[in-house]
Amino acid sequence: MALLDELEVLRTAALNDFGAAHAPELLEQARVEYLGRSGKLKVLMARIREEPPAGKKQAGQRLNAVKAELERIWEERKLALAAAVRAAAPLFDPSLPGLTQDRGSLHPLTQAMDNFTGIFERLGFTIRYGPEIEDVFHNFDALNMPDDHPVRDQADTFVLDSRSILRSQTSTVQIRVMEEHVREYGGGADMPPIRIVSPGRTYRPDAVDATHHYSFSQIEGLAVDKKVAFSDLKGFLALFARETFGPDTATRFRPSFFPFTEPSAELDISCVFCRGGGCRVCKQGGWVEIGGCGMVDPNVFRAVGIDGELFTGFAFGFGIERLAMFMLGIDDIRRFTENDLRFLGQF
Amino acid sequence: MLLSYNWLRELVPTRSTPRELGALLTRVGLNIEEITSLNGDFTLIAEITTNRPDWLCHLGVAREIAAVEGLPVRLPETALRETGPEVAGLSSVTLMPGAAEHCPRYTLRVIRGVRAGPSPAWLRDRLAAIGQHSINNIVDVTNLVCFEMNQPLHAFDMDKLADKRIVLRLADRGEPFAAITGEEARLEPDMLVIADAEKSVALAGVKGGANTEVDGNTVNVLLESAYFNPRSIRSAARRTKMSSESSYRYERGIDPGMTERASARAIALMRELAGGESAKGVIDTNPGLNESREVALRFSRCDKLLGFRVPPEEISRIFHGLGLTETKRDREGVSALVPSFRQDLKREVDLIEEVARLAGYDRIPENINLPLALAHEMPETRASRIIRRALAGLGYHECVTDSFVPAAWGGMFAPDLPAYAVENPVNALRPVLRTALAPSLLEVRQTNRLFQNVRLFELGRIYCRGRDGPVERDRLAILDDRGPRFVRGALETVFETLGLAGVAEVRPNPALPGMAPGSGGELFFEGGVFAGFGETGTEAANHFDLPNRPGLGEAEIGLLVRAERKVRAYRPLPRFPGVRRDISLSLPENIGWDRMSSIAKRNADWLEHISFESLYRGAGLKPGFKGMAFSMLFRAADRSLTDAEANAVRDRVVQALLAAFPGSEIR
Repeated sequence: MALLDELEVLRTAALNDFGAAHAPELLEQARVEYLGRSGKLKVLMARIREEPPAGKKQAGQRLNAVKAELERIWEERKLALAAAVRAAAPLFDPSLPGLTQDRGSLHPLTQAMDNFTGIFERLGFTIRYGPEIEDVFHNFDALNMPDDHPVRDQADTFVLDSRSILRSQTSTVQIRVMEEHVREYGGGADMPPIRIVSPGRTYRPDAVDATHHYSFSQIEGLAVDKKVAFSDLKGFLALFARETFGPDTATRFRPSFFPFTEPSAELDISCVFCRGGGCRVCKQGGWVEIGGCGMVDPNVFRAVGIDGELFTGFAFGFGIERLAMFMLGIDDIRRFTENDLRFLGQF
Repeated sequence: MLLSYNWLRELVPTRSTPRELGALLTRVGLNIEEITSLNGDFTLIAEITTNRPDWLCHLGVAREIAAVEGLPVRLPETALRETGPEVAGLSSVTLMPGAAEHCPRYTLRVIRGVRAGPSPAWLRDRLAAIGQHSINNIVDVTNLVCFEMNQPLHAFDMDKLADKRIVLRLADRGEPFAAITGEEARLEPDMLVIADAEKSVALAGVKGGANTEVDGNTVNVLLESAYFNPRSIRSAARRTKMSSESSYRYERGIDPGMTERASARAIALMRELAGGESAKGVIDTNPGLNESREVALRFSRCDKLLGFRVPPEEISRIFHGLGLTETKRDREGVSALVPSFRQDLKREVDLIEEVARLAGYDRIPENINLPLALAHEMPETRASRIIRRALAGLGYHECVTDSFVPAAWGGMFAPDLPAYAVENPVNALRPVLRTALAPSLLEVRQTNRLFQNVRLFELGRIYCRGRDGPVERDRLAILDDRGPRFVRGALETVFETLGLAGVAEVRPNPALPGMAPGSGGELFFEGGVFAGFGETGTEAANHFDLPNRPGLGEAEIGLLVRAERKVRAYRPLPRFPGVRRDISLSLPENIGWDRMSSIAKRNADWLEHISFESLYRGAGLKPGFKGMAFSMLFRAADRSLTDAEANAVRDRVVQALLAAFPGSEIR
């Protein structure tokens, strides 16, 4: 048979086979048979050499045209089959529950602490840490709590040995930071301002119940500058309260006493649960106490060597467990250190 | 402290209701926590801060109400009809050497011929309103005056005192003292003893001793009213571990100007309620004691500290209301004499606080004038945030555990660290400060025994004794039920997140404390160990009664914090394809992945990545050998590598491994 006739037979057969292949594997078989490296088309192409010179050109053109046509048809068929396969695939059922990795969690105390430190950092306060094992000077004496004064009665501590106790408040870090500052710059006119917050664990030998634990966390803040006033403290804590508890939160200062500040105040916020109307959480008073604060007592400045005539300062402190319990509605402080996964997983 | 509303109203003519008074007092710093009613009276339950001992009596609180409401105070009646003989002829006080320092003022009065008996209803009601029981008319009067004027009084039955006189002396070293309450103590020479001619009758200001109290048969009363040095009383009370209503007041500081007047008030009341005749005059060791002082306030300082201006006229009004007497006033400031009942007002700042308090804290503006300042993020803060978030993202739950642990835990996991034990633990089962975090996580694992596939971590401190004092270090602990390979992986992810990928070297430590023998590995960085991991050992698994042996790891954070790479250089993305080659070898059992892979790395050019594929133990291997397969990805930066090049590198790696580990073969 002449080459061109054979070509027409091959073309017809190939188109048939491509059309009949109803799965990608069968189409691939057909492709190999006709268009493969040693397929039937290749064999015919090799025979062009045997054609008379006059027919060579015509045969070559026809061969190329058939090859292009077959390749196009094959391509179309391949896409159609792939689309058919996709169409036949089972549909996703969006009503099924999602699949995911197990989620971990950050401890609620960490989250609370991070919230608070974050706000203070945004307000320009640097986080500083200090030792939990302390000496009596930093925990008491420098904080204007001399041994022979009744204020020491309410400040029982865990005793480790003749020199060491566990700190009963994070205010110790104030003292350490001020001492460091004075060592570096002197406590006189050239001393740059201080603005720190110190989060951390503190310890008091209290019996454990739903609202007391011998170990708890505090965050304490200190600002020392040439012009820091009680009114700045009030404005600063009002910002903090609004950022933490919502923009409608009102704040109130109530006179109080702390040995290391004077004047001293308790910071109350309008109850976030009843918006000040009176409820169980605020004992009908409409206000909830969230922390203590005041102006740094001159005796504290004296203890660390800062000139208390040139400098004034404010300090404040919050109990993290208490605040977290209040904000999250947790009824038992022991939940925090039990680490029951049914508890941790909620946060 | 309980306060009677009716009693307060006797001392200050306020028209405020109990609730209004509660709010008013809370606003000035005397926190009223609750108000209850009883027998037509109201009881205000007050929380009194240690700086205001003057609020430990009704007169002091009445003064505060008077100051706020601008009312006068009605002082209790102290007029006394003295019909008896001179007191000096009936009794005496002898001050032995050193006693005056502990007792700046000591007074005695005498009333003779009293008839001890029940108190009248008004007195019983008054005491009931403040939670006190009635005993008899003589004792009730001393209590009444104490809660009215903050002056502890002691009524002796005069006929029980040897020679009917009082001697104030310092205790002998080790002198035994038996309190009337049954408590006993050994005294020290810096404690003051009240004695009669023969025996001690009280530890001054703290507790009565031998029975010289008044009782139903008492006829003649010797009434002590004294001002003791607050520090002496506090020191004696603390060291003898005894305390009383009296010592509580003395150590906070009572009004030294009230000594004699309170005594007169009490004798007058006794005479009224129990009859008898009061002796003329008072025995007084220091009638001239004057504890009032002058304190100055600068208006400018007041403005600066408070951040708002209280006008000088208002300051004067406030001082007047508080009973301060102005001695000097000019444009700069004001000086004032502080009355003896306000022992807390000693410094300028004390007066400024009074100005703020009485002007009202509500009037202080909310300023936000602090100048801008840059807050640095401390490396510890940054690293701990990164680590926490990375681990929570990997499915680990963060724990916060008790710093106090049972003594046995340290021995299991940190036998080399000397632990601190507290002298006064609250929980006797947990007396020690932790020297490792891993056991705390095992305890949490035990708590959550109903859960499977538990993953936990904690970032916290450990504590131990160091050569130069206490040592505290921040640690990270990880627990993973899926096993120690996941713990190692989590630790490596943490390093990667801190920009420290691939910097740690791992070496096996077959005897890592707490871990199963042979399962332990240690991570080295910059020449030191900073983390260990492994499978929970049998002892620990038994101790915590665990059903499984979770993977555990513990790392020092300090080194990571300092090493964190905050600035990370960009590596251009590859432009040419890489070539992968797999190798499978049989190796002696003791050759670990880390040793093998480090040799492979040293011998492979173009190595971009080497990854562990599988470990095989079992048939087809020589005894003492294991099979290990791994895969290497080679890539050149400037061209596509040929198959021949990749094969050559692979062959070099294989040769190096076969040479390094005799007996090993290609599988």
